[in-house]
Amino acid sequence: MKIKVNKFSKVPLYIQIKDAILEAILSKELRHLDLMPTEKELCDALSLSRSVIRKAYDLLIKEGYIFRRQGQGTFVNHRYTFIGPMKEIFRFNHLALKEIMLMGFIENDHLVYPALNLKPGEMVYDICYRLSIDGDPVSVQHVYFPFKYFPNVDYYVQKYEDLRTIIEKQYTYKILSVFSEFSAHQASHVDALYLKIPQKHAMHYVTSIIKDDDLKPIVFVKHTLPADYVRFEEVVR
Amino acid sequence: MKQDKLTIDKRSGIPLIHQISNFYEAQIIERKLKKSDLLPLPEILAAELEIPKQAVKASYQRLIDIKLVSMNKLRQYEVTYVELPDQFHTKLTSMTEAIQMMGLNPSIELIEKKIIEDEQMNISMGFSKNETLFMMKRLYLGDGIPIYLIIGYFPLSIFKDLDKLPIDEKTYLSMFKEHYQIDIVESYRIFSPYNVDQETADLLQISKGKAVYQSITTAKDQYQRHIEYGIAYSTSHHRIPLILEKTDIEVYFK
Repeated sequence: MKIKVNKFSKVPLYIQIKDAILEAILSKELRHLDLMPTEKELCDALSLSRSVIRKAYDLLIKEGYIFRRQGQGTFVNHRYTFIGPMKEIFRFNHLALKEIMLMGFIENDHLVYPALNLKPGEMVYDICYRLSIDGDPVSVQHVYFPFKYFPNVDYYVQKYEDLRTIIEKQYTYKILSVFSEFSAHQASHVDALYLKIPQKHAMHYVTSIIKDDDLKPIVFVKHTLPADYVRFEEVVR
Repeated sequence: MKQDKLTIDKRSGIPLIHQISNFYEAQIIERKLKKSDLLPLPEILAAELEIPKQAVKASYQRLIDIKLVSMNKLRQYEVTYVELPDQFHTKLTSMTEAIQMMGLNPSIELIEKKIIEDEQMNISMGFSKNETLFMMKRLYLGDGIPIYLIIGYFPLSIFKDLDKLPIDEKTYLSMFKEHYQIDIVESYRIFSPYNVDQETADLLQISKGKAVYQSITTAKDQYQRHIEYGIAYSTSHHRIPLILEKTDIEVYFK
Protein backbone atom coordinates (compact mmCIF):
# COMPACT_ATOMS: atom_id res chain seq x y z
CA MET A 1 0.00 0.00 0.00
CA LYS A 2 1.41 3.36 -1.03
CA ILE A 3 0.37 6.48 0.82
CA LYS A 4 1.25 9.87 -0.59
CA VAL A 5 0.60 12.99 1.44
CA ASN A 6 0.68 16.58 0.28
CA LYS A 7 1.77 18.75 3.19
CA PHE A 8 0.76 21.90 1.30
CA SER A 9 -2.79 20.75 0.65
CA LYS A 10 -5.72 22.33 2.44
CA VAL A 11 -7.00 18.83 3.21
CA PRO A 12 -5.83 17.90 6.70
CA LEU A 13 -3.06 15.26 6.74
CA TYR A 14 -5.08 12.76 8.75
CA ILE A 15 -7.89 12.93 6.18
CA GLN A 16 -5.39 12.37 3.33
CA ILE A 17 -4.04 9.29 5.09
CA LYS A 18 -7.48 8.00 5.94
CA ASP A 19 -8.62 8.43 2.31
CA ALA A 20 -5.52 6.65 0.96
CA ILE A 21 -6.06 3.66 3.27
CA LEU A 22 -9.76 3.61 2.47
CA GLU A 23 -9.02 3.54 -1.25
CA ALA A 24 -6.70 0.57 -0.74
CA ILE A 25 -9.44 -1.23 1.21
CA LEU A 26 -12.22 -0.47 -1.27
CA SER A 27 -10.06 -1.50 -4.25
CA LYS A 28 -9.32 -4.75 -2.36
CA GLU A 29 -5.58 -4.04 -2.39
CA LEU A 30 -6.03 -4.51 1.34
CA ARG A 31 -8.29 -7.45 2.14
CA HIS A 32 -10.38 -8.45 5.11
CA LEU A 33 -8.24 -9.33 8.16
CA ASP A 34 -5.00 -8.02 6.59
CA LEU A 35 -2.70 -6.67 9.29
CA MET A 36 -2.25 -2.89 9.07
CA PRO A 37 1.14 -1.21 9.69
CA THR A 38 1.56 -0.03 13.27
CA GLU A 39 1.15 3.68 13.96
CA LYS A 40 4.89 3.91 14.58
CA GLU A 41 5.76 2.22 11.28
CA LEU A 42 3.50 4.60 9.38
CA CYS A 43 4.72 7.74 11.13
CA ASP A 44 8.34 6.72 10.49
CA ALA A 45 7.60 5.95 6.83
CA LEU A 46 5.73 9.22 6.23
CA SER A 47 7.75 11.40 8.63
CA LEU A 48 4.61 12.54 10.37
CA SER A 49 3.66 12.81 13.99
CA ARG A 50 2.03 9.80 15.62
CA SER A 51 -1.08 11.79 16.55
CA VAL A 52 -1.85 12.36 12.84
CA ILE A 53 -1.71 8.63 12.13
CA ARG A 54 -3.74 7.86 15.23
CA LYS A 55 -6.42 10.31 14.15
CA ALA A 56 -6.62 8.68 10.70
CA TYR A 57 -6.85 5.19 12.25
CA ASP A 58 -9.44 6.34 14.78
CA LEU A 59 -11.61 7.66 11.96
CA LEU A 60 -11.32 4.38 10.04
CA ILE A 61 -12.18 2.43 13.19
CA LYS A 62 -15.18 4.64 13.79
CA GLU A 63 -16.37 4.04 10.24
CA GLY A 64 -15.83 0.32 10.68
CA TYR A 65 -13.13 -0.23 8.03
CA ILE A 66 -10.44 -1.37 10.45
CA PHE A 67 -10.44 -2.67 14.01
CA ARG A 68 -7.90 -3.06 16.79
CA ARG A 69 -7.40 -6.35 18.56
CA GLN A 70 -5.57 -5.95 21.84
CA GLY A 71 -2.04 -7.30 21.74
CA GLN A 72 -2.36 -8.36 18.10
CA GLY A 73 -2.53 -5.18 16.05
CA THR A 74 -4.91 -3.37 13.71
CA PHE A 75 -6.74 -5.30 11.02
CA VAL A 76 -8.74 -4.55 7.91
CA ASN A 77 -12.46 -5.08 8.35
CA HIS A 78 -14.04 -5.16 4.94
CA ARG A 79 -16.34 -8.01 4.12
CA TYR A 80 -19.91 -8.57 3.06
CA THR A 81 -22.17 -6.63 5.40
CA PHE A 82 -25.93 -6.92 5.61
CA ILE A 83 -27.88 -3.84 6.64
CA GLY A 84 -31.60 -4.13 6.10
CA PRO A 85 -34.96 -5.03 7.56
CA MET A 86 -35.20 -8.20 9.62
CA LYS A 87 -37.67 -9.86 7.30
CA GLU A 88 -35.06 -9.75 4.54
CA ILE A 89 -32.50 -11.37 6.77
CA PHE A 90 -31.72 -14.10 4.26
CA ARG A 91 -31.77 -12.04 1.12
CA PHE A 92 -28.06 -12.83 0.85
CA ASN A 93 -28.87 -16.50 0.42
CA HIS A 94 -28.41 -16.43 -3.35
CA LEU A 95 -24.99 -14.77 -2.98
CA ALA A 96 -23.77 -17.30 -0.47
CA LEU A 97 -21.99 -20.58 -0.79
CA LYS A 98 -23.94 -23.09 1.27
CA GLU A 99 -22.02 -26.02 2.71
CA ILE A 100 -23.19 -28.78 5.00
CA MET A 101 -20.99 -28.80 8.09
CA LEU A 102 -22.54 -31.80 9.80
CA MET A 103 -25.52 -34.13 9.67
CA GLY A 104 -26.74 -36.09 12.63
CA PHE A 105 -29.63 -36.95 14.89
CA ILE A 106 -30.78 -35.62 18.21
CA GLU A 107 -33.13 -37.31 20.63
CA ASN A 108 -33.95 -34.36 22.88
CA ASP A 109 -33.40 -30.61 23.10
CA HIS A 110 -35.07 -28.16 25.46
CA LEU A 111 -35.83 -25.71 22.64
CA VAL A 112 -36.45 -27.90 19.62
CA TYR A 113 -38.69 -30.58 21.11
CA PRO A 114 -41.33 -28.38 22.78
CA ALA A 115 -41.42 -26.12 19.71
CA LEU A 116 -42.10 -29.09 17.42
CA ASN A 117 -44.49 -30.75 19.90
CA LEU A 118 -42.21 -33.80 20.09
CA LYS A 119 -41.59 -36.19 22.93
CA PRO A 120 -38.03 -36.92 24.10
CA GLY A 121 -36.71 -39.94 22.25
CA GLU A 122 -38.44 -39.11 18.94
CA MET A 123 -35.68 -38.87 16.37
CA VAL A 124 -34.89 -35.51 14.76
CA TYR A 125 -32.37 -34.82 12.01
CA ASP A 126 -29.93 -32.00 12.78
CA ILE A 127 -28.47 -30.57 9.56
CA CYS A 128 -25.92 -27.82 10.02
CA TYR A 129 -25.21 -25.47 7.11
CA ARG A 130 -22.70 -22.69 6.82
CA LEU A 131 -23.29 -19.80 4.42
CA SER A 132 -20.26 -17.84 3.25
CA ILE A 133 -19.73 -14.91 0.95
CA ASP A 134 -16.26 -14.33 -0.52
CA GLY A 135 -14.94 -16.94 1.91
CA ASP A 136 -16.34 -15.16 4.98
CA PRO A 137 -19.10 -16.92 6.95
CA VAL A 138 -22.31 -14.89 7.19
CA SER A 139 -24.56 -17.43 8.88
CA VAL A 140 -24.64 -20.87 10.45
CA GLN A 141 -27.98 -22.63 10.41
CA HIS A 142 -29.06 -25.78 12.23
CA VAL A 143 -32.18 -27.16 10.59
CA TYR A 144 -34.13 -29.72 12.62
CA PHE A 145 -36.36 -32.09 10.65
CA PRO A 146 -38.41 -34.59 12.71
CA PHE A 147 -37.89 -38.07 11.27
CA LYS A 148 -41.61 -38.80 11.44
CA TYR A 149 -42.36 -35.91 9.05
CA PHE A 150 -39.19 -36.06 6.93
CA PRO A 151 -37.94 -39.65 6.71
CA ASN A 152 -34.59 -39.90 4.91
CA VAL A 153 -34.27 -36.14 4.54
CA ASP A 154 -30.51 -36.62 4.78
CA TYR A 155 -30.63 -37.74 1.13
CA TYR A 156 -32.53 -34.66 -0.07
CA VAL A 157 -30.44 -32.11 1.83
CA GLN A 158 -27.44 -33.30 -0.14
CA LYS A 159 -29.37 -33.09 -3.39
CA TYR A 160 -31.17 -29.74 -2.88
CA GLU A 161 -29.79 -26.61 -1.23
CA ASP A 162 -33.14 -24.88 -1.00
CA LEU A 163 -35.07 -25.68 2.16
CA ARG A 164 -38.40 -24.82 0.59
CA THR A 165 -37.88 -27.28 -2.26
CA ILE A 166 -37.23 -30.02 0.27
CA ILE A 167 -40.24 -29.18 2.43
CA GLU A 168 -42.77 -28.40 -0.29
CA LYS A 169 -41.63 -30.39 -3.31
CA GLN A 170 -40.14 -33.52 -1.81
CA TYR A 171 -42.45 -33.85 1.17
CA THR A 172 -45.49 -31.92 -0.17
CA TYR A 173 -46.02 -29.84 2.97
CA LYS A 174 -47.31 -26.34 2.35
CA ILE A 175 -45.56 -23.67 4.41
CA LEU A 176 -48.10 -21.30 5.92
CA SER A 177 -46.00 -19.24 8.29
CA VAL A 178 -42.56 -18.82 9.77
CA PHE A 179 -42.35 -17.50 13.33
CA SER A 180 -38.91 -16.24 14.30
CA GLU A 181 -37.49 -14.74 17.45
CA PHE A 182 -34.28 -12.70 17.59
CA SER A 183 -32.01 -12.29 20.54
CA ALA A 184 -28.38 -11.36 21.23
CA HIS A 185 -26.04 -14.14 22.37
CA GLN A 186 -22.34 -14.64 22.97
CA ALA A 187 -20.64 -16.97 20.51
CA SER A 188 -19.83 -20.40 21.91
CA HIS A 189 -16.60 -22.12 21.00
CA VAL A 190 -18.29 -23.91 18.08
CA ASP A 191 -20.17 -20.79 16.87
CA ALA A 192 -16.90 -18.86 16.92
CA LEU A 193 -15.12 -21.56 14.96
CA TYR A 194 -17.81 -21.81 12.28
CA LEU A 195 -18.40 -18.05 11.99
CA LYS A 196 -14.69 -17.18 12.23
CA ILE A 197 -15.29 -14.70 15.02
CA PRO A 198 -13.71 -14.51 18.47
CA GLN A 199 -15.29 -16.66 21.15
CA LYS A 200 -17.88 -14.81 23.29
CA HIS A 201 -18.31 -12.19 20.56
CA ALA A 202 -21.86 -10.86 20.29
CA MET A 203 -23.99 -12.44 17.58
CA HIS A 204 -27.61 -12.62 16.49
CA TYR A 205 -29.33 -15.78 17.61
CA VAL A 206 -32.53 -16.46 15.72
CA THR A 207 -34.93 -19.34 16.17
CA SER A 208 -37.58 -20.05 13.54
CA ILE A 209 -40.55 -22.39 13.62
CA ILE A 210 -41.90 -23.32 10.21
CA LYS A 211 -45.57 -24.31 10.24
CA ASP A 212 -47.55 -26.11 7.57
CA ASP A 213 -51.07 -25.22 6.42
CA ASP A 214 -52.54 -27.19 9.32
CA LEU A 215 -50.47 -24.89 11.57
CA LYS A 216 -48.46 -27.89 12.61
CA PRO A 217 -44.85 -26.99 13.48
CA ILE A 218 -42.78 -29.13 11.11
CA VAL A 219 -39.27 -27.67 11.05
CA PHE A 220 -37.21 -25.77 13.61
CA VAL A 221 -34.22 -23.65 12.57
CA LYS A 222 -31.52 -22.07 14.75
CA HIS A 223 -29.52 -19.36 13.00
CA THR A 224 -26.48 -17.53 14.21
CA LEU A 225 -25.21 -14.42 12.44
CA PRO A 226 -22.15 -12.38 13.42
CA ALA A 227 -23.01 -8.99 14.91
CA ASP A 228 -20.31 -7.03 13.14
CA TYR A 229 -21.58 -7.86 9.67
CA VAL A 230 -25.31 -8.13 10.13
CA ARG A 231 -27.20 -5.06 11.27
CA PHE A 232 -30.93 -4.58 11.15
CA GLU A 233 -32.68 -1.35 10.39
CA GLU A 234 -36.27 -0.33 10.78
CA VAL A 235 -38.34 2.78 10.31
CA VAL A 236 -41.19 2.98 12.79
CA ARG A 237 -44.01 5.47 12.33
CA MET B 1 -59.87 -6.74 10.81
CA LYS B 2 -62.80 -9.02 10.05
CA GLN B 3 -62.88 -12.40 11.76
CA ASP B 4 -63.39 -15.55 9.73
CA LYS B 5 -66.18 -17.99 10.46
CA LEU B 6 -65.20 -21.29 11.99
CA THR B 7 -66.28 -24.33 10.03
CA ILE B 8 -65.30 -27.87 10.85
CA ASP B 9 -65.13 -31.05 8.83
CA LYS B 10 -66.37 -34.00 10.87
CA ARG B 11 -65.15 -36.48 8.24
CA SER B 12 -61.62 -35.07 8.20
CA GLY B 13 -58.73 -37.12 9.55
CA ILE B 14 -57.77 -34.10 11.67
CA PRO B 15 -59.34 -34.35 15.15
CA LEU B 16 -62.09 -31.80 15.88
CA ILE B 17 -60.12 -30.46 18.83
CA HIS B 18 -57.21 -29.63 16.53
CA GLN B 19 -59.44 -28.12 13.87
CA ILE B 20 -60.90 -25.70 16.41
CA SER B 21 -57.63 -24.81 18.13
CA ASN B 22 -55.84 -24.42 14.76
CA PHE B 23 -58.58 -22.07 13.58
CA TYR B 24 -58.28 -19.81 16.63
CA GLU B 25 -54.50 -19.98 16.62
CA ALA B 26 -54.50 -18.73 13.02
CA GLN B 27 -57.02 -15.98 13.88
CA ILE B 28 -54.79 -14.78 16.72
CA ILE B 29 -51.52 -15.00 14.79
CA GLU B 30 -53.08 -13.19 11.83
CA ARG B 31 -54.32 -10.52 14.29
CA LYS B 32 -57.97 -11.08 13.44
CA LEU B 33 -58.44 -11.71 17.15
CA LYS B 34 -56.57 -9.34 19.42
CA LYS B 35 -55.57 -9.17 23.06
CA SER B 36 -58.65 -9.11 25.39
CA ASP B 37 -61.02 -10.44 22.70
CA LEU B 38 -63.19 -13.24 24.02
CA LEU B 39 -63.62 -16.64 22.42
CA PRO B 40 -67.21 -17.92 22.14
CA LEU B 41 -68.49 -19.67 25.23
CA PRO B 42 -67.88 -23.44 24.89
CA GLU B 43 -71.61 -24.20 25.27
CA ILE B 44 -72.55 -21.81 22.50
CA LEU B 45 -69.83 -22.92 20.09
CA ALA B 46 -70.55 -26.57 20.81
CA ALA B 47 -74.25 -26.07 20.09
CA GLU B 48 -73.46 -24.14 16.92
CA LEU B 49 -71.08 -26.83 15.63
CA GLU B 50 -73.20 -29.67 16.99
CA ILE B 51 -70.32 -31.24 18.87
CA PRO B 52 -69.76 -32.03 22.57
CA LYS B 53 -68.89 -29.09 24.83
CA GLN B 54 -65.88 -31.05 26.10
CA ALA B 55 -64.32 -30.98 22.60
CA VAL B 56 -64.47 -27.18 22.54
CA LYS B 57 -63.06 -26.98 26.06
CA ALA B 58 -60.21 -29.32 25.11
CA SER B 59 -59.38 -27.23 22.06
CA TYR B 60 -59.38 -24.04 24.18
CA GLN B 61 -57.07 -25.82 26.62
CA ARG B 62 -54.60 -26.34 23.74
CA LEU B 63 -54.63 -22.55 23.19
CA ILE B 64 -54.06 -21.98 26.91
CA ASP B 65 -51.11 -24.39 26.80
CA ILE B 66 -49.40 -22.41 24.07
CA LYS B 67 -50.13 -19.15 25.93
CA LEU B 68 -52.39 -17.58 23.32
CA VAL B 69 -55.44 -17.64 25.57
CA SER B 70 -56.19 -17.64 29.28
CA MET B 71 -59.29 -17.99 31.39
CA ASN B 72 -60.26 -14.74 33.11
CA LYS B 73 -61.94 -14.24 36.49
CA LEU B 74 -65.37 -14.56 34.87
CA ARG B 75 -64.28 -17.95 33.46
CA GLN B 76 -64.33 -16.57 29.94
CA TYR B 77 -61.64 -17.56 27.46
CA GLU B 78 -59.72 -14.40 26.68
CA VAL B 79 -56.99 -13.79 24.10
CA THR B 80 -53.84 -12.91 26.00
CA TYR B 81 -51.33 -13.10 23.19
CA VAL B 82 -49.64 -9.74 22.65
CA GLU B 83 -47.69 -8.74 19.64
CA LEU B 84 -45.27 -6.71 21.67
CA PRO B 85 -42.37 -6.40 21.60
CA ASP B 86 -43.13 -7.15 17.94
CA GLN B 87 -45.46 -4.16 18.07
CA PHE B 88 -42.62 -2.13 19.51
CA HIS B 89 -40.78 -2.77 16.27
CA THR B 90 -43.70 -1.92 14.02
CA LYS B 91 -45.26 1.16 15.59
CA LEU B 92 -44.20 3.98 17.88
CA THR B 93 -44.54 2.71 21.40
CA SER B 94 -42.96 4.00 24.57
CA MET B 95 -40.50 1.83 26.46
CA THR B 96 -42.81 1.75 29.48
CA GLU B 97 -45.63 0.40 27.30
CA ALA B 98 -43.25 -2.20 25.91
CA ILE B 99 -42.43 -3.29 29.46
CA GLN B 100 -46.12 -3.37 30.41
CA MET B 101 -46.79 -5.64 27.45
CA MET B 102 -44.18 -8.05 28.81
CA GLY B 103 -46.50 -8.37 31.80
CA LEU B 104 -44.15 -6.39 34.05
CA ASN B 105 -44.70 -3.27 36.09
CA PRO B 106 -42.61 -0.45 34.55
CA SER B 107 -40.61 2.22 36.34
CA ILE B 108 -37.92 4.69 35.25
CA GLU B 109 -34.76 5.60 37.12
CA LEU B 110 -32.73 8.64 36.16
CA ILE B 111 -29.02 7.85 36.10
CA GLU B 112 -27.54 11.06 34.74
CA LYS B 113 -28.46 14.26 32.95
CA LYS B 114 -26.27 17.02 31.61
CA ILE B 115 -25.83 19.69 28.97
CA ILE B 116 -23.33 19.02 26.19
CA GLU B 117 -21.68 21.47 23.85
CA ASP B 118 -19.42 19.51 21.53
CA GLU B 119 -19.15 20.22 17.81
CA GLN B 120 -17.84 16.75 16.93
CA MET B 121 -20.64 15.04 18.84
CA ASN B 122 -23.26 17.26 17.25
CA ILE B 123 -22.01 16.41 13.77
CA SER B 124 -21.73 12.69 14.41
CA MET B 125 -25.29 12.63 15.77
CA GLY B 126 -26.66 14.61 12.83
CA PHE B 127 -27.37 17.86 14.69
CA SER B 128 -26.14 21.27 13.59
CA LYS B 129 -22.58 22.11 14.59
CA ASN B 130 -23.47 24.78 17.15
CA GLU B 131 -26.34 22.97 18.83
CA THR B 132 -26.51 22.59 22.59
CA LEU B 133 -27.69 19.13 23.57
CA PHE B 134 -29.41 17.86 26.66
CA MET B 135 -28.37 14.32 27.53
CA MET B 136 -30.43 12.05 29.70
CA LYS B 137 -29.40 8.55 30.73
CA ARG B 138 -32.29 6.54 32.14
CA LEU B 139 -32.86 2.99 33.22
CA TYR B 140 -36.22 1.38 32.45
CA LEU B 141 -37.15 -1.37 34.86
CA GLY B 142 -39.84 -4.05 34.86
CA ASP B 143 -40.81 -5.32 38.32
CA GLY B 144 -37.61 -3.65 39.53
CA ILE B 145 -35.37 -5.52 37.07
CA PRO B 146 -33.44 -3.45 34.48
CA ILE B 147 -34.79 -4.02 30.95
CA TYR B 148 -33.51 -1.05 28.93
CA LEU B 149 -30.79 1.55 29.36
CA ILE B 150 -31.41 4.57 27.17
CA ILE B 151 -29.13 7.51 26.55
CA GLY B 152 -31.08 10.24 24.76
CA TYR B 153 -29.72 13.48 23.27
CA PHE B 154 -32.13 16.34 22.57
CA PRO B 155 -31.45 19.72 20.94
CA LEU B 156 -32.20 22.59 23.30
CA SER B 157 -32.94 24.86 20.34
CA ILE B 158 -36.16 22.84 19.95
CA PHE B 159 -36.70 21.72 23.54
CA LYS B 160 -36.14 25.01 25.35
CA ASP B 161 -35.37 24.63 29.05
CA LEU B 162 -35.80 20.87 28.84
CA ASP B 163 -33.04 20.56 31.40
CA LYS B 164 -35.14 22.52 33.90
CA LEU B 165 -38.32 20.45 33.57
CA PRO B 166 -39.29 17.79 36.13
CA ILE B 167 -39.10 14.99 33.60
CA ASP B 168 -37.14 12.36 35.42
CA GLU B 169 -39.78 9.66 35.23
CA LYS B 170 -41.90 10.73 32.28
CA THR B 171 -41.89 9.01 28.91
CA TYR B 172 -40.42 10.98 26.04
CA LEU B 173 -43.64 10.71 24.06
CA SER B 174 -45.79 12.26 26.79
CA MET B 175 -43.14 14.79 27.80
CA PHE B 176 -42.72 16.16 24.27
CA LYS B 177 -46.46 16.29 23.71
CA GLU B 178 -47.28 17.93 27.03
CA HIS B 179 -44.59 20.61 27.16
CA TYR B 180 -43.74 21.27 23.53
CA GLN B 181 -46.74 20.03 21.50
CA ILE B 182 -44.28 17.89 19.61
CA ASP B 183 -45.14 14.44 18.31
CA ILE B 184 -42.53 11.93 17.32
CA VAL B 185 -43.75 10.78 13.92
CA GLU B 186 -40.84 8.70 12.70
CA SER B 187 -38.07 6.76 14.33
CA TYR B 188 -35.21 5.24 12.38
CA ARG B 189 -33.31 2.52 14.24
CA ILE B 190 -30.36 0.40 13.47
CA PHE B 191 -29.60 -2.41 15.84
CA SER B 192 -27.12 -5.17 16.34
CA PRO B 193 -25.81 -7.35 19.18
CA TYR B 194 -23.14 -5.78 21.35
CA ASN B 195 -20.82 -7.01 24.11
CA VAL B 196 -21.54 -4.70 27.04
CA ASP B 197 -18.84 -2.65 28.74
CA GLN B 198 -18.42 -2.64 32.51
CA GLU B 199 -20.47 0.52 33.15
CA THR B 200 -23.45 -0.62 31.06
CA ALA B 201 -23.22 -4.13 32.52
CA ASP B 202 -23.33 -2.73 36.06
CA LEU B 203 -26.41 -0.66 35.29
CA LEU B 204 -28.20 -3.55 33.58
CA GLN B 205 -27.09 -5.91 36.39
CA ILE B 206 -25.49 -8.38 33.99
CA SER B 207 -21.91 -9.58 33.53
CA LYS B 208 -19.42 -7.56 31.55
CA GLY B 209 -19.13 -8.78 27.96
CA LYS B 210 -22.62 -10.30 27.87
CA ALA B 211 -24.38 -9.83 24.50
CA VAL B 212 -27.31 -7.41 24.40
CA TYR B 213 -29.06 -5.61 21.57
CA GLN B 214 -27.82 -2.09 21.03
CA SER B 215 -29.96 0.20 18.93
CA ILE B 216 -29.15 3.64 17.60
CA THR B 217 -32.23 5.74 17.05
CA THR B 218 -32.88 9.02 15.32
CA ALA B 219 -36.34 10.53 15.55
CA LYS B 220 -38.24 13.18 13.61
CA ASP B 221 -41.19 15.30 14.69
CA GLN B 222 -44.30 16.37 12.76
CA TYR B 223 -42.26 19.19 11.15
CA GLN B 224 -39.66 16.65 9.98
CA ARG B 225 -37.05 18.07 12.38
CA HIS B 226 -34.37 15.85 13.84
CA ILE B 227 -35.36 15.90 17.50
CA GLU B 228 -33.61 12.94 19.09
CA TYR B 229 -30.52 10.80 18.92
CA GLY B 230 -30.62 7.81 21.21
CA ILE B 231 -28.58 4.78 22.14
CA ALA B 232 -30.49 1.96 23.76
CA TYR B 233 -29.35 -1.31 25.28
CA SER B 234 -31.92 -4.00 25.92
CA THR B 235 -31.48 -7.07 28.07
CA SER B 236 -32.53 -10.57 27.10
CA HIS B 237 -36.07 -9.80 28.35
CA HIS B 238 -36.54 -7.90 25.12
CA ARG B 239 -36.91 -10.48 22.37
CA ILE B 240 -37.82 -9.57 18.85
CA PRO B 241 -40.47 -11.76 17.25
CA LEU B 242 -41.03 -11.73 13.51
CA ILE B 243 -43.93 -13.45 11.79
CA LEU B 244 -43.55 -14.14 8.11
CA GLU B 245 -46.50 -14.96 5.91
CA LYS B 246 -47.15 -15.32 2.19
CA THR B 247 -45.02 -12.79 0.29
CA ASP B 248 -42.52 -12.52 3.15
CA ILE B 249 -41.98 -16.26 2.92
CA GLU B 250 -41.11 -15.92 -0.77
CA VAL B 251 -38.36 -13.50 0.20
CA TYR B 252 -37.25 -15.58 3.17
CA PHE B 253 -36.72 -18.70 1.12
CA LYS B 254 -35.50 -17.00 -2.06
